[in-house]
Amino acid sequence: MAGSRSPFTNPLLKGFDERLPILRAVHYSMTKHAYPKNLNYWWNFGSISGIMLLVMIVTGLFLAMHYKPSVQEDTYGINQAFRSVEHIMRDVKGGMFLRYIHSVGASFFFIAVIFHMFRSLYYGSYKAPRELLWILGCIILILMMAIAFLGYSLVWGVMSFAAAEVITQVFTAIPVLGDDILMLLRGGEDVDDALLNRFFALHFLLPFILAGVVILHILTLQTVGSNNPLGVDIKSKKDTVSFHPYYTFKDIFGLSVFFTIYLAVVAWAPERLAEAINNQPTDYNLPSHIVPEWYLLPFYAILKVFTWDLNIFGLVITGKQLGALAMGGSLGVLFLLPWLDTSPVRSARFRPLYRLAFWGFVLTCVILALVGAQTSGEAFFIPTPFGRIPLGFEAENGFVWGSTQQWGVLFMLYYFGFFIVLMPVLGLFERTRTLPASISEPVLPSSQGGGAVAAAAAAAKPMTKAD
Amino acid sequence: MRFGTLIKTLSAAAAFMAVAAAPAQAEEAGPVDSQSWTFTGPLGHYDERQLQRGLYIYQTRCQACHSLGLVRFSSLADLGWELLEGQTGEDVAKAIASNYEIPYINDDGENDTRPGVLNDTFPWALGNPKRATATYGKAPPDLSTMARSRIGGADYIYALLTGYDDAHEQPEGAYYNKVMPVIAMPNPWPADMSDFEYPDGTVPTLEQQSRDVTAFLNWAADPYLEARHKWGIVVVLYMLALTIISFFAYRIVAAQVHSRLEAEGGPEPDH
Amino acid sequence: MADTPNDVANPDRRNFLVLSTMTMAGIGAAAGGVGLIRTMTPTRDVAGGGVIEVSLEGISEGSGIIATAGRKKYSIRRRTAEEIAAAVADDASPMRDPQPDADRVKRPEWLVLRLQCPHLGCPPQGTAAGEKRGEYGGYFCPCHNSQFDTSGRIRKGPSPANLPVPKYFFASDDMIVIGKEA
Repeated sequence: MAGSRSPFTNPLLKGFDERLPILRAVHYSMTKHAYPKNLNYWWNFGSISGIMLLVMIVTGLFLAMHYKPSVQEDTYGINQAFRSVEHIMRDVKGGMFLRYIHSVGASFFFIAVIFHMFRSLYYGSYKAPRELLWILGCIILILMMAIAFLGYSLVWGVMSFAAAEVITQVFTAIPVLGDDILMLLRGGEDVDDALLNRFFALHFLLPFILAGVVILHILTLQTVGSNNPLGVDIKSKKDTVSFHPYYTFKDIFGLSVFFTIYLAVVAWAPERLAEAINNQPTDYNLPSHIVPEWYLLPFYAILKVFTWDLNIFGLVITGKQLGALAMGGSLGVLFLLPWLDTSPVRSARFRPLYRLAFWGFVLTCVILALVGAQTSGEAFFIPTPFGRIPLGFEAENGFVWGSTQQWGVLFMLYYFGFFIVLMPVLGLFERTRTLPASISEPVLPSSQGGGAVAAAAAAAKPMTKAD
Repeated sequence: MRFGTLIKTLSAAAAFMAVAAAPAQAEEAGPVDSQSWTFTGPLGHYDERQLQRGLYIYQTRCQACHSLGLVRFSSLADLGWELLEGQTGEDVAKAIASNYEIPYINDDGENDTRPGVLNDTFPWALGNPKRATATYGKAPPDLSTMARSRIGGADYIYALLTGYDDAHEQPEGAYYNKVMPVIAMPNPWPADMSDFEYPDGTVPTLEQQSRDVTAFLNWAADPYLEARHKWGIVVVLYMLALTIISFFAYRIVAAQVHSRLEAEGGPEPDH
Repeated sequence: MADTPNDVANPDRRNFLVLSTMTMAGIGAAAGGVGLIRTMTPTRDVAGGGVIEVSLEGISEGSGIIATAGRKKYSIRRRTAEEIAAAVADDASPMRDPQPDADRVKRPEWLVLRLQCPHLGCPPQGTAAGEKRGEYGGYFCPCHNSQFDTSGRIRKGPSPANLPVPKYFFASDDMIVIGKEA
């Protein structure tokens, strides 16, 4: 790219670009880079996620101008961190909006990223040559979860303390070094001032590291090119369109829809997605019902379903360790996805069996989130606006059939089975639908004789670019 | 959008809402009925007279034990007081503040009190958490954010205040309430309220007093609710307009792009 | 935008829609930016914090008190007749920052000054009894020996200007409010 000439005529832009060619790189990707012309609205969520990251960093910076990470309590028994958050809500001009845009924004950031990731799962955007793109995305997800957890702790409310206490405790699952690592994380034995201060420092830093990974994510995307709903490679310029003005305006429209909903929630239901009890300063006791924010629920479920120990020939793995391993594994397995899926066909549009498995996976994530929110030993239920639908009951002898834990184990098995069993197996044995020859070519009906030959030829090498 | 995709998207949205509501509904809610308040709903607003009555109830029945440590006297200026000639809301708030004694260390280095000023927060009658715990065994919680920190919010507080039943026996040190069967807070309502009066003459039934103080506590937890709702209307209308305009902009740009693609095709794919 | 609207049925409509979209988006972003900057303005708990009421009761002639508002110190002195006369007599004297005494007080008996030496910011002495007053019987700054007269005007020493007179007004005969005009 730097070897090409600067496209600018304006002397200021041209002079700058000749000395640091980032402007021409942006210009190239906006006007000359080949994008598939058939991207649908599921492709909007990448740019939406990027804008949400920007919103979070900017609002976070302005919040940090007023926040005080100290556990010191005043004569009312209210700690300084909590008081500073209320100071933002009450005394800072526009502070209520700043706080709610940030807290509701975290949820909407995850909503955008979740839709973005499920788009990739459905259309095979993780498959070659986009393995690195997917892996960077997984790193982004993990960083987001860490940042969200750290940020939630900063309020130093009842649930903030619970989050810090429980999640740092998970590290004691590490054999031999576990307790020392806990001491190092907390800066002491207990969750206290030292932890709060370092959580603030990390919460401020990690988003910038996240932004760096996002830039790498975009750079590799530009190199390998975007996937599309058909999963078929770009063959010629009949299949392509430039990003600007087509996708710039589609993105602006998509962003408008997203922000309309987001800002409506900020105005009328800003606490809806939050835990009420966190509006009370912590007294350093765990509440009776511990739940993380909704986007962490499926992973929390996997962590807590293991209440029994495993004994393999004398080696004991405790329930806590199993939970930690499983939770780590549920994230780790995502990294292996490009190699677990053996199908030569990318898009679920042409993979009827995989599509069923995919929706099963979506259901699994929803169920696991509900498991994460409910009490393990009690009967599981589905909450609806019209009441609870029970999916379990307590027998006379006290044993609970269909408990939250049991449903959790079942769907956790599907979670891992989806990646470790279904992905490899389906790819080998699934009968896929006929792929179109290219993006611009319509799908040829198999009843047409001549068309069948062309279709067969296309299906034989659908993923390759035109030579 | 194809119908099948629409169904799937709506199901996903419903599932999301169920999950998001899940933590709230997973707990035992108890018998908390939903009440009608002026401040619920998209056009929610506060009834200023009710807030003034609620402040009065807080002062007469609650503040002997409960603090409002995050509420400044200055915020009372906006409670829509009936003003005399030349008086401002701030003057009323200043007068209310000056009736409170705020503890401080005087120039001789001794514990002293001074009259409150606008910038002070409501002082705690019990002084500090240790004294509160020593007096009552469990420190009565600060009420500044109470309406936000319980599931059910105002409905919960109202149910609690009207849920006492003195006939129900309880072991020493605990009391009975329909919402929390073993509760450390005693019944705040005296058996005989015939001599109690509101300054504005409203009939002071137990339900009315509970309602008023609950509304006041909701205000204490969310004083800018009305501003937020007004902001919401302006912002969402603006965003809807932007959404509509950007949709038509996208469509006309897309039409032009498509017609050009028909003729010339797009950029060459790069290898 | 380098696109040629050659195939569009209505290029004016396109330009209008595109321009409106970008303008509305820009206004939205600008409104957001203004809101963000607004969060940096003084918060509601300090917004009026510079204003204090000072009771003049109990201040006898020839003495004064120091009142503090946040980090600002003010000197309120009840001047004797001699001090007032000396100040007025010097109105025409050559000095670095000439100002008639009448322009520096609302009631001649009461001198209200900000206790911050315009040189480098130290609080001058001279308010209460027993403090050093310097050669001109007014205020004396111990940091670099600026000497001020009974009207707080700089007469000797490095200060470039007189001691500042803050905004204040008499709420009543024995109460002044410092920090704003009436």
